Amino acid sequence: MRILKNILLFQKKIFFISYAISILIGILFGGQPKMIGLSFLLIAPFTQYFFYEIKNKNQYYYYYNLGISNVMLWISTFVIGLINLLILMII
Amino acid sequence: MSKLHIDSVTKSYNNKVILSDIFISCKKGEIKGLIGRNGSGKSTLLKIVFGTEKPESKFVRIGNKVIKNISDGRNLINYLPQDNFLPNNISIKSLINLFLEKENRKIVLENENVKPLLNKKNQDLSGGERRIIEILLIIHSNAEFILLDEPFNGVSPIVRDYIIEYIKKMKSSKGYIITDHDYENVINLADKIVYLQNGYLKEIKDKSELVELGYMTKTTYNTVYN
Repeated sequence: MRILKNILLFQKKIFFISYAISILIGILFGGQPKMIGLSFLLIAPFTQYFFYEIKNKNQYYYYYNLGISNVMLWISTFVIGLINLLILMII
Repeated sequence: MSKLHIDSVTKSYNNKVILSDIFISCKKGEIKGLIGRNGSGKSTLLKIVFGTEKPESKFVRIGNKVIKNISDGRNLINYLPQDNFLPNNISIKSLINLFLEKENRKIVLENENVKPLLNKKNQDLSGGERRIIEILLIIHSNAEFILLDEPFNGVSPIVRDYIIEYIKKMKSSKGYIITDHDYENVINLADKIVYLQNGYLKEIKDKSELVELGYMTKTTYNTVYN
């Protein structure tokens, strides 16, 4: 549970920024929920790359010390993107 | 008794050998000081042991468990990097609750130096305050072995003394490998000293060896130790 909460902490920063950009792109391309979901799936990894790999690389050590590897964090970004896309496709 | 066993660590950069078949071990309750000149590979060695730097070869074992990557080392080995690693935009109290297991939180939450900072965020703290929080989080994690990479980086003398005393106080429950650019801190704290030079580790039995190895001048040695 603690690990999951920490992955959510990692994702918090990525989620809100990516979502704001995705909504804008979604609106530009017709405003369909599926479009917002697809944009999010593509933008979230870029946001992670910018915020963590470029700007705050040292923050990875917080997660590494919890046994959460870089690969696990990247996978979590894709999984959240996919879940979000699925929800928006159902809507 | 649990033991950290590090063996066969080899690492090169641009055909220059930084670490050559390094062997080092650490027992629970022991503080091992790792010293060496700037760029000698101290931080690289600690990162390889922790799993964030890729070597040509390494063998790391704690007890019977072989540590190949970060996930293998969960609850066994933690690493304090040289620079601040705490996430921003979250209160220190929340970070303590998220980072530590329930049974380890109280001692940190009630620490005299931490209490006034609980409602602040990482970005609002001074360098010394951050370092205290980081060190307490790492020390009170479940890990059996702690790698401290320049723990006194950017801290005032009073914070440095506090950290030294705190590590000494908490020594019995874990094993530590510590490195710092200020050799005096390491020498004061460590039970055993190892010196890294030209890719090789040498155990220092007498401090005067540091003069022979060219780590400090005779004048400095005489001023500090005589």
